[in-house]
Amino acid sequence: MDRVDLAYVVGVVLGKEDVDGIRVAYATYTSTLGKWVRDPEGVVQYLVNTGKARVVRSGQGRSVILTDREMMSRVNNLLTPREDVDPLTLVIEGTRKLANPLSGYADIGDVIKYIEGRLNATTKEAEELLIKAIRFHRGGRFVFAHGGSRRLKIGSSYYGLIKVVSDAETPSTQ
Amino acid sequence: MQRLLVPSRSSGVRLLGPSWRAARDKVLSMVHEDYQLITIIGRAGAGKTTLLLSLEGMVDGVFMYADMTEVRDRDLSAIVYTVFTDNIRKIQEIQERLRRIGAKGLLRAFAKAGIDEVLESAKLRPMETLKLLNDAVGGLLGMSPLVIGIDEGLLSQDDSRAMDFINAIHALRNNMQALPSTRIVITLLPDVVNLISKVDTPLFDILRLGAITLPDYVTREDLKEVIQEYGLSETEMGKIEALGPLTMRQLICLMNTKMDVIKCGIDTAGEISIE
Repeated sequence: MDRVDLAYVVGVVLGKEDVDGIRVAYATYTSTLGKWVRDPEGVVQYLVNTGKARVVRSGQGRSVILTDREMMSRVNNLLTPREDVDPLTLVIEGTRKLANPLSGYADIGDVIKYIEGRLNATTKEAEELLIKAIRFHRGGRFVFAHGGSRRLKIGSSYYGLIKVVSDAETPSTQ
Repeated sequence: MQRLLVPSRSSGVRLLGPSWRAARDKVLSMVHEDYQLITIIGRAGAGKTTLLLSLEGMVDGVFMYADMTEVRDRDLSAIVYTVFTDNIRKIQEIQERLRRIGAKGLLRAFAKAGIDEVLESAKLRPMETLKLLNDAVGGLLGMSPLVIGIDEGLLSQDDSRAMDFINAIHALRNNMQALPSTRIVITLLPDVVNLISKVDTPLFDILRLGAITLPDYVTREDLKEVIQEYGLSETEMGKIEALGPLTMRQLICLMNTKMDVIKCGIDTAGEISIE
């Protein structure tokens, strides 16, 4: 984490959402920032110079407004704790949600994206979670079919579609 | 050895397993209830082809099975041509009946046409030729319905011919009014169903009204019946159940190979990865 990242972390923690960005009282901001950097006012000046913040008058004092939306969202994601979810529950939920209404199968690529979105995880993390769920429960919870946008290799076979077993037992009609 | 993993296309197929017979009963009731575009959906080895072949002798009217897996093209022309070539004896019988009752007009010409002419017509004017067959079976001869089983269980979403096939089914959908005595039963893999839902919503909306999804694996009752049929013991049944969910093809393969898991393509301890 560099000093700009830190400045945004402190701003997001202390500040309030405003029309132009995150607003935080200048004195509070620099004194908190000063716990980790030697020259907090210099950091604020650097943010202003690089277009990532503005300093505005506010009543008797001043406020810092952090304006970089992308940085704000990155820091927000960083500070939001990951949900403690059971991999099996998540994979079943995603598969059912994304299943084609006729075949009951979901594209494994879409299920991976679903896990990424739900956990705010990377693709690799989502893939690992899916594999974990399948590895521990494939003896009875999932069946697979060919196709799909990603290739799942189980032993010597390739699959791309996944279905929850309890949805697969009896012939169904629409 | 690999032939154990592909269905036999011979006639006189016996359908094992109560779940599969229930699926066939549903197809038959749809045929009876005037559904014109019926889809049998199932993953590889789920028994789509076997179910389709087992309709022979079960439907009222005329049943024609068309094996598209052996044909290069997948457009309407190729499909109708295959229906006629694979069932040429039945077509000739229909022509003979038409001649006997003295059919008039276009049906008279159809009745008098030679095999080559009929096949050429099926290839060049597929919908018109299919309509003649529909009118002969359903109208003049009173042998309704004409049930055509199109076995397309091997076409995947990645096959470059998939769009030709979807367009052909769309053409059949659009002409259902002109083919009132005809029932088309198609087998489809789940990935092709996914593809249709993405690229042809109007077709998907029609297909879903008359679709049957085959069981993805055998239930305990199906397993019991198959075990009994092959004369195996309860001990064997326990061993098979421990293998996890099996397709009907995998189960029949186990019966025929004396429980050879490897030969039947059943991975029990394989590594899992995503590529």
